[in-house]
Amino acid sequence: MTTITVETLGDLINRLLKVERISTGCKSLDEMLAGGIITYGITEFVGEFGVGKTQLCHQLCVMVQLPPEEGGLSGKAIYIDTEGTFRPERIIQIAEYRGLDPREALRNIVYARAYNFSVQVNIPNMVYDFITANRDVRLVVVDDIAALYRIDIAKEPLLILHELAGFMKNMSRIAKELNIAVVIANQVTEVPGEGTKPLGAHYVEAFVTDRIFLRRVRDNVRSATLEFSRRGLERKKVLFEIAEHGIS
Amino acid sequence: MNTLPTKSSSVPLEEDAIEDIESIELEDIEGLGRVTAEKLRNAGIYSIKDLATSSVMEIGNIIGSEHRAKMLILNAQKLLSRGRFFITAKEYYEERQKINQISTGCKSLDELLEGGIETKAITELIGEFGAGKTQLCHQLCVMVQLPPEEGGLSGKAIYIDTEGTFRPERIIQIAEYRGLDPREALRNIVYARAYNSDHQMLLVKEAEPIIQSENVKLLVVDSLVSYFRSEYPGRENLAVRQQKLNRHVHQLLRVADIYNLAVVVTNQVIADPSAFIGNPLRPAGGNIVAHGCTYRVWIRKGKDNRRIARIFDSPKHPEVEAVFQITEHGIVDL
Repeated sequence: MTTITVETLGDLINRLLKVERISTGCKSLDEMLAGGIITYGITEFVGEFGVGKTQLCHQLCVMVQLPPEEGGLSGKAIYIDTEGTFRPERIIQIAEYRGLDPREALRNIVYARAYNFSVQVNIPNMVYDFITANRDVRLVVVDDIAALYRIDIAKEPLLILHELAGFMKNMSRIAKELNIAVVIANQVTEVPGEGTKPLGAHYVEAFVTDRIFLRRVRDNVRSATLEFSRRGLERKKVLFEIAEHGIS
Repeated sequence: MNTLPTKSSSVPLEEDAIEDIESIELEDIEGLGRVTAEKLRNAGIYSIKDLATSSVMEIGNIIGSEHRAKMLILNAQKLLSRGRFFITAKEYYEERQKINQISTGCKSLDELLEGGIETKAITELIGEFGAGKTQLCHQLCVMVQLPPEEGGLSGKAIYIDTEGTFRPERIIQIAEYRGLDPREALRNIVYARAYNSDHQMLLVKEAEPIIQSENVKLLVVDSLVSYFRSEYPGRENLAVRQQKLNRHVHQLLRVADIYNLAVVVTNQVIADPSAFIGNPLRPAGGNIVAHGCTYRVWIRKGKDNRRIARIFDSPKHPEVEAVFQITEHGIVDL
């Protein structure tokens, strides 16, 4: 598509005023994010195995269903699973704790499994079509963007990286055109001399609004650091806890 | 979205629009001829689900063109989902309700696994020599025979042994302790000794008719990678080995899924010379095994006969440890 859309500053401001927030259900995280994750942008959770990325993704799928006065958007969620780690049992636990009917909560989450990277790259199209047909979806979760990419990367790294960038571009388009909150989980890799870095380098970074680094502190306690924010939030580090009923 | 082909925009949700996937042959996929289908079948890709869930690289290596592989995988995926790419989490939950569990016979381990070993999944037991992996396999072969109220599935077990470590005497001891008739317990375990990796894979194939007719609820492969490691040594054989191992793991996943049975495999640990910091030990089999196995339990030796088990990289389980001990009666709590 080569059309250029022209927009006046007034339109832009009106559009930005429509940005909404979904509470994470955890006070310290919400404070760090000035109220929660935003629609009209991509929030990225980065970290090693077992730091709670998947748990946060589960929790947000429930939080988005709450009414606005409780921090949600009374909306539905789409969960894109690349590793087979989605557990409806967790949703039930979290929903019960938040005072939602668990069966209803499950019905409000749309699940899709991607088994290989070529399918993952096609997902934004399907999600876009799905949301245009079902406008009550307000959150799209991709858990995670790196697992399938890591399998396919060996042969043609550059091509795969470009495909990943295309994937990110299309996801950010979903966020902006449809005013959807997009959440992605990402893995880390060791870069010699630079320490632990999120995968995908600037191919991913360019499209992310808020990047949050998760680290293990002890047993069930994790720290979250707002690595950068394109909406001008302060760099900050907070602690949170993973419990049976979710994150608090 | 502009660059890629889109699907129809009206996506049915709570509706059974899908036709019988099992009846669709590889040849029904657009752009897939008889010769290619034959190639794929020889490489262990039997159904459109197998094809849709393979990676582009893997299929590219089989048919010799990565571009074509990509097209075929996408077509297979389309055929497989047919507007049902998205399902509600409720449907997914109901699908998961069909999963059963087999108790390990040890409370702390059951707690660690949140009930026991799951069907429709591969559980991998990792540990050094003598950690108790084989003991646990023996025990599970008995536990699966118990009635559901005692933690079993009233089912039979198949034991594929690659290292010749199966001991019927142990089964008798464990069965007696659990109140089963030892002769009956032995009769309910189908044993096969594998002599090389090809034979090991053939055995899984041959096991299918037995699984269908005999109410088998547990399939043990002890050990998963030992033949693959010894037959394909060195870096130059690594790619071939991993491909073959991948086929084996997928073969097991498929059997677990279709027949709703639990697959338990054991794996050795190897020292990674490139790790300067942290634990230099890691499970053999690399990413293929790591991705294929649903649950991974690491068992290590403690003092006396104590063993410490830890689940790692699980979406469901918290990272806690369980302590148990190995006695004459099998695996029990402290």
